Amino acid sequence: MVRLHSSEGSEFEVERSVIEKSLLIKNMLDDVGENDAAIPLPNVSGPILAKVIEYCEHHRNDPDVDGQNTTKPGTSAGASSPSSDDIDEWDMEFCRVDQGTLYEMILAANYLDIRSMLDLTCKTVANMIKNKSPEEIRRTFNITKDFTPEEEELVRRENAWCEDR
Amino acid sequence: MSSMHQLPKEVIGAIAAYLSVDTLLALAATHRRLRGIIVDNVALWRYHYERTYPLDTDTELAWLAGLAALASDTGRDHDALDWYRAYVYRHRTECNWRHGRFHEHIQQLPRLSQQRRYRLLGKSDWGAILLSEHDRRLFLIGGGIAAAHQQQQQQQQQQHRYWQELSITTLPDCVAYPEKAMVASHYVVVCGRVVYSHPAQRHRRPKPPATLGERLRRRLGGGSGGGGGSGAHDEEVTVDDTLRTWMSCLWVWRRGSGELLTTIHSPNTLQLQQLIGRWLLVRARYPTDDPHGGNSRYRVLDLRTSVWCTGELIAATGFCHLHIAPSEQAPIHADHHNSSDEDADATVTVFVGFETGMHGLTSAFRWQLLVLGRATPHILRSGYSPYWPMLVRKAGSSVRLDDAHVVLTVDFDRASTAQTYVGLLRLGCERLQWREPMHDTIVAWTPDRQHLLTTTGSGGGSISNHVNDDGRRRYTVRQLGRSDVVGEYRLTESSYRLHCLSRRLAYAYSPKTAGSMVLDVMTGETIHTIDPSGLTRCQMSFPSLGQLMLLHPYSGQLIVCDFVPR
Repeated sequence: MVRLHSSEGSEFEVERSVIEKSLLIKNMLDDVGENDAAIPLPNVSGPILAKVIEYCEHHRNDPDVDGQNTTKPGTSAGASSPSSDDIDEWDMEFCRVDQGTLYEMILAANYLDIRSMLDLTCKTVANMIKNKSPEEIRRTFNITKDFTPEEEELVRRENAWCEDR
Repeated sequence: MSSMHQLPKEVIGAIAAYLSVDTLLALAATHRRLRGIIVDNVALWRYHYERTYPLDTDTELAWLAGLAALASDTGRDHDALDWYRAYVYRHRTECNWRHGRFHEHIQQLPRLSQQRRYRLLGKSDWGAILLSEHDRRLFLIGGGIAAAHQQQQQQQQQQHRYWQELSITTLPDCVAYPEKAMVASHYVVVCGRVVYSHPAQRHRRPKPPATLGERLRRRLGGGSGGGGGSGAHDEEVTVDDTLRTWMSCLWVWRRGSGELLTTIHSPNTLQLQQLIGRWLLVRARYPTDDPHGGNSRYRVLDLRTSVWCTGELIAATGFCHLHIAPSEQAPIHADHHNSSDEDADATVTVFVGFETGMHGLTSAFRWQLLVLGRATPHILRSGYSPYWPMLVRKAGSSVRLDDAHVVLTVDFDRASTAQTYVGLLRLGCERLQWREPMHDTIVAWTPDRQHLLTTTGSGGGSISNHVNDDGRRRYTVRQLGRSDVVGEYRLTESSYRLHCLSRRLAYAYSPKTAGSMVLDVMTGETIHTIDPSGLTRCQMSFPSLGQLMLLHPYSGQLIVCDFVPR
């Protein structure tokens, strides 16, 4: 078993085979060897760490995502396009949280280097953005407009090309 | 963390990876930081660019190279192409074609004396080579050459953005007659003949020729040499044909700078076949060769080192090609400076096809993929296709579709009716799949060679007769490897030259009627007319994705229509 300390000091115990979905923790464990000391995770809060462990336990038997043929833009040209539609039911329910929590989960997945969880959470956000206008995106994600009117006009004009068919 | 725009850059990048271009732009329009992260994501936009406009054709590579050169021309970093801008510009360029939007201006090539004209020696997506009949000077036009040229010579005048003279050198007492030319990403090659004659064999022409044909013949026969001689001097001397020594000659320039790299003389007749990147395929004919033989000799020249690859290839005439992708040899940013070690190890794959086993009216087709270089050639793969179309093969050609496929086009004469077979040779399983024979003529291919445009009547890219009963010419779009017809459309005028600009767009031009328009290849719909001023005087068109050039060959006036947005 591996002991983890969240940012508030809460302790979690998890099987090594489960938490090794996190490349960060896996590398740490490989480096330090057998050790009873708890691993501090100062960037992850208790509730988020609980979600992370829940995710890792559910997906403990999944193959490594690196071995799959999921190609993202910029990683390999000419491959099939990445899709955000292929989320299974459990994952969808897992990500049904408020936006603040979803962002924390993205940051935790990024920090802990859990590739599949990062992909899942990013897909979830991408699905929330799809087919929305800039104003709708701002409303959905509580984004404050910081363009000056001149800049906004410039952006609007620059983006006009996309509507030209 | 209260809002998405506060997420780290790499996380926003990961989210953006799942968004379409439209959604990306919408997201980028919400917040200054998001816009910066999205627009500056080179890998993201390169992905979208290559997915939308695959860089597997010369058409796309030439357009992008022209844009890169243009960016460097305007002070942008040449080594780091802005893929967001490239995507936007590429999209807008095609839209400009669709809507007939272009910036028009006129350039003037050097004026020729009366009744002399510019003659086309060859063209590709990378530019065209013109020969002035007046003094046998060579000019490279189009293909974005000028921007790259100007980068090296900042003081170059504006007009030279669109054309560039290529100087020819010859041996003493030699006169050069350029005949054919090819332009590719890095090099320009002109092939021609060189005539050597001793000064003692020259004599004064007794009187001026009576006809233009005679004048031209005598002028060409007694030029002053070097390609830059004056017309007046040419008129004064002539040479007895029987006393001349003829040689083939290849001149090679670096595209962009126009620097003459090498001149190669040969006692044999050399004919340009294919130029991709640094590799040039030529057909060599020895004086002892049977002119009516079905086979030809081919050789490959490495233009970077000016060294012939080891080995001479024997193939059925037309069935030999460089089996490499244009993108392998045409990086977006020019790179002429590989190390000599890499030069020595450089190899090229060549397809060679030949007919064997004639049994009555049928024969078999064997093929090999050979690796050529400085070492002894070796066979990479070979195959055998038993169902080679029968009867007398009049002409044919092979061309690479992708690494695993070759397109074969064969013209046969059958009971005095021309038939064209288009075959898809699958190299992996040695299968040669023929579509139904066509009585039509192939007019054009789409750049990706997935579709071909055919029409009834004579070919050569121009249709001038066999108009249908309704007074229109019928064009048919066929998909490679399928026998059914994808689309069909009719044009009211009869003498159009078609050039596919992209997978969907084709440009049609009629020098006879000055008809100039953009067509949708798949639907046959006339999308828009392209109607620059002075169009009626032009007889040559040089369409490329970035610009359309129309030349009046006698005045040297070049109408340039830029479709790349400013």
